[in-house]
Amino acid sequence: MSAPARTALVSTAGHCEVACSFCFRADRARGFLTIATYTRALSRLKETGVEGVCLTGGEPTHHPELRQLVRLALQFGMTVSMVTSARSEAEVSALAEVAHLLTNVTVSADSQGAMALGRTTRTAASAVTTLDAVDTPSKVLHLTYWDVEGEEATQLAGLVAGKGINVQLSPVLVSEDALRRDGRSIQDALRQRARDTASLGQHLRLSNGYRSYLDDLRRMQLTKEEIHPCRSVTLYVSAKGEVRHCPYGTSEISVHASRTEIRAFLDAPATDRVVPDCAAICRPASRDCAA
Amino acid sequence: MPKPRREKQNHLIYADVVDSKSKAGVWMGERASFRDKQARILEALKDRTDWVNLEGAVMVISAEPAGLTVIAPNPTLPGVIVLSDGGSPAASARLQADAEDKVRAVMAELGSPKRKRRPDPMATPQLLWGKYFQYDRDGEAVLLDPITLESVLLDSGEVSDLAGVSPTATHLALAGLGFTQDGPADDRREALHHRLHTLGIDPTPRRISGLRVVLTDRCNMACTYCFVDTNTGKPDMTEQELAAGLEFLFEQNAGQEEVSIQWFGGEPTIRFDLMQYGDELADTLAARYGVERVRRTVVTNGARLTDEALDHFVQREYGVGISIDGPPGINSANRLLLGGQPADDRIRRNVRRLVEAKGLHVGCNLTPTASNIGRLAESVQWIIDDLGLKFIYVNTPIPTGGKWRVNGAELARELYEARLTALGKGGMLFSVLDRAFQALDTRRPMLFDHMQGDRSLNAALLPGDRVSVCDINFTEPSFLHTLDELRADPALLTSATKKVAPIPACGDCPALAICGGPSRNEQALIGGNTPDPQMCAFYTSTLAVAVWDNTGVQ
Repeated sequence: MSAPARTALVSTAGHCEVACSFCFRADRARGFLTIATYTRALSRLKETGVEGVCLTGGEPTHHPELRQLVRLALQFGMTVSMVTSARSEAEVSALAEVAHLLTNVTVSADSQGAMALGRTTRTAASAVTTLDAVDTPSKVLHLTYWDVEGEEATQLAGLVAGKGINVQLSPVLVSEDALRRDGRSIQDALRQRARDTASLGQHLRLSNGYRSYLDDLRRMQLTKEEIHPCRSVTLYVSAKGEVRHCPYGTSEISVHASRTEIRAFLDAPATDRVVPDCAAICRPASRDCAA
Repeated sequence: MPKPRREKQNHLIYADVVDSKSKAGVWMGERASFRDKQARILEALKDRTDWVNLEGAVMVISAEPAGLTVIAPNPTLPGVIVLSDGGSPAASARLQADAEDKVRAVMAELGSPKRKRRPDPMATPQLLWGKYFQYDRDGEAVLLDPITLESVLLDSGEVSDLAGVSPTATHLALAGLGFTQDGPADDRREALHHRLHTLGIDPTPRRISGLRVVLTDRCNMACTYCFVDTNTGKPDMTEQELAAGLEFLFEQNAGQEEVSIQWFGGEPTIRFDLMQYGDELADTLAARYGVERVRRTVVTNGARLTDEALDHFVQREYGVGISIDGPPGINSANRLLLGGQPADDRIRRNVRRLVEAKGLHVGCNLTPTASNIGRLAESVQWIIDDLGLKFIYVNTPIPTGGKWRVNGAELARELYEARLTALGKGGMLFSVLDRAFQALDTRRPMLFDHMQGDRSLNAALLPGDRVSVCDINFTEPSFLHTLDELRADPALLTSATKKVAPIPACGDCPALAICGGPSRNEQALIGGNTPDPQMCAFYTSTLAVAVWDNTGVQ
């Protein structure tokens, strides 16, 4: 039996304009989350004990009814937080308009190497500019990293210093196929990650939880054993209204199913297994933005 | 301590808009049952709304229009309270209407037998000590003495105590309440006859105190299930026949407090002239024979109502009973104008005029048919909300074509739910259920369909100088007599006398003293003594509903 989830990630759109090429999201599809599906999801999740939602991508600031999404969750008595890549003026002002209602804002950024790999433009500096423009009790810069040199790590630490911004890290997980095309192996990637982590560790205090997550990840990548059943404490709701134990899960139930069926789905032991892609969601001490 | 059913002798007997006086009686409590129902309504609403829990209630959150609706069980009555706030009066009204629609839909569904029903174990009690019936539910039990109609509620501890080696505390307490293990009655049918004798209840009618006057068999509607042969071309009643019939009624009731006259047809208002004539004459006769009061009622389909007739009804303080089976879709299944078109719009307009007129008592006669069974609660809701009729009398099914056409057990359950729906809306619903409640509360057998407690009979005055001693059967030869024959031989009334518990199986039935077996009419219609199994299921099920419902407080 899984522990009852207290939080849920809610995908506000099936599509995402950032389109990182290393994105592993399982359910990319066009279309925004509708209000009817969203309120049904909130009601059903609240009934099962979920106390907070985190609005996530696609890009939540692109949702035409963002304010409504935040307001409704609060009416259901839930806390609301958000993961965003907001950078443009329109995105940042949409975010700023609701920021005072949010418990936490996490702005995603990529290291230089990750930007090159994923063909993105989400710099850490622009993330901090966005965070500076919003008024929330808690702010997080989420950095997806690859190939981080000492200098970049120093700059990163400088960017957040004294601003009350916490940093959350995720290594890029390059697929084996992509590595092979590049003429590299898993071991090469793991060595790169170890170097990157060491650079970051010189300027940021890495938690024990994060270090043990990296150990788990390494073990999973090396052994390819799907050892652990999914233990995500954060549910996931897709933009089409399917509830999963985690964004990467394969078993799901529609929020429009009967309450009995939803409860049965959530009460039943998860059939999904932890894989490297989803391990970050499960990492015990991660400061997931909704936690 | 085992709890005996509270005794209650002062049932309100009123609002018998169109039918015999023995059929009314309302109990407003029933709290345990309606709470259960309210909980089921709320639970079902949770399936179709987006809500958060409040203490003992839910708050529905809507986005279009944006707003909140609190839905809570009414703490003192059946039904739920719906309260919406959408920021503006228009949005609030929309939310309120939407929520009420949802609640209604849920209530209608919960009242529907289309959902799979399990056989109801409550309806099949076990025999205890060879003479009491034990109804079990969720560990609790009710013991019923089928002869004395005493009943006792046992909690779960007492139920298990009862299974222990006698005498336990529960055995002793029950003995104190008259429930003893010794000496089971040899023959419960005989015991009932003895009980009737002790209570002075005699099945033989003494006189006719009410006449259902069948003015004409012409009707502007052609309802498929009508028990009257209509539009046969037979002549209407004449003034002379009417005068003779009324003369007989008043002379038989000289010095009595009350007689009742019910105008009936066909559609009686087609001969409004005879109604006027008869009402005038009745006043004269009442004065002459010293009858204090004339109760006047009319049974009409409501499709036709002239201003003149309306004024007349108001002036004579009529009780008006409108035959209607439910909302248009249901009503028009069996109730159509002669030309085949539905009459719902007309009926609705006329009902409004009747309801708005001062001094009239307006009610509705609802016949359970294949098209409204499963939707009785919904029909009742529509009758109260849409038509504005608060008094609903549900006709007791009778065999058609030699057998019962409805499922008796389901009908009993539906009547109960329809009754709660009516009560929740400030209306009242009268049916055979009341007979079971009343029998249990008063400890008096309730066995007679067409006879009042004072042993006076409702009979039907028919065209052609004939009287049927059964007011819902105008053709059975053994019921038909002329006025002169009845004057010469009052014993002819005994052709309507019910043979109480006519077959041995009645002795094994828990509803022995509430049903008492098939009436003479029932026997005539099924062509034998043995009751239709659905009739038995109906009465045993009404009893099962009533034994658990001992909270009547009105």
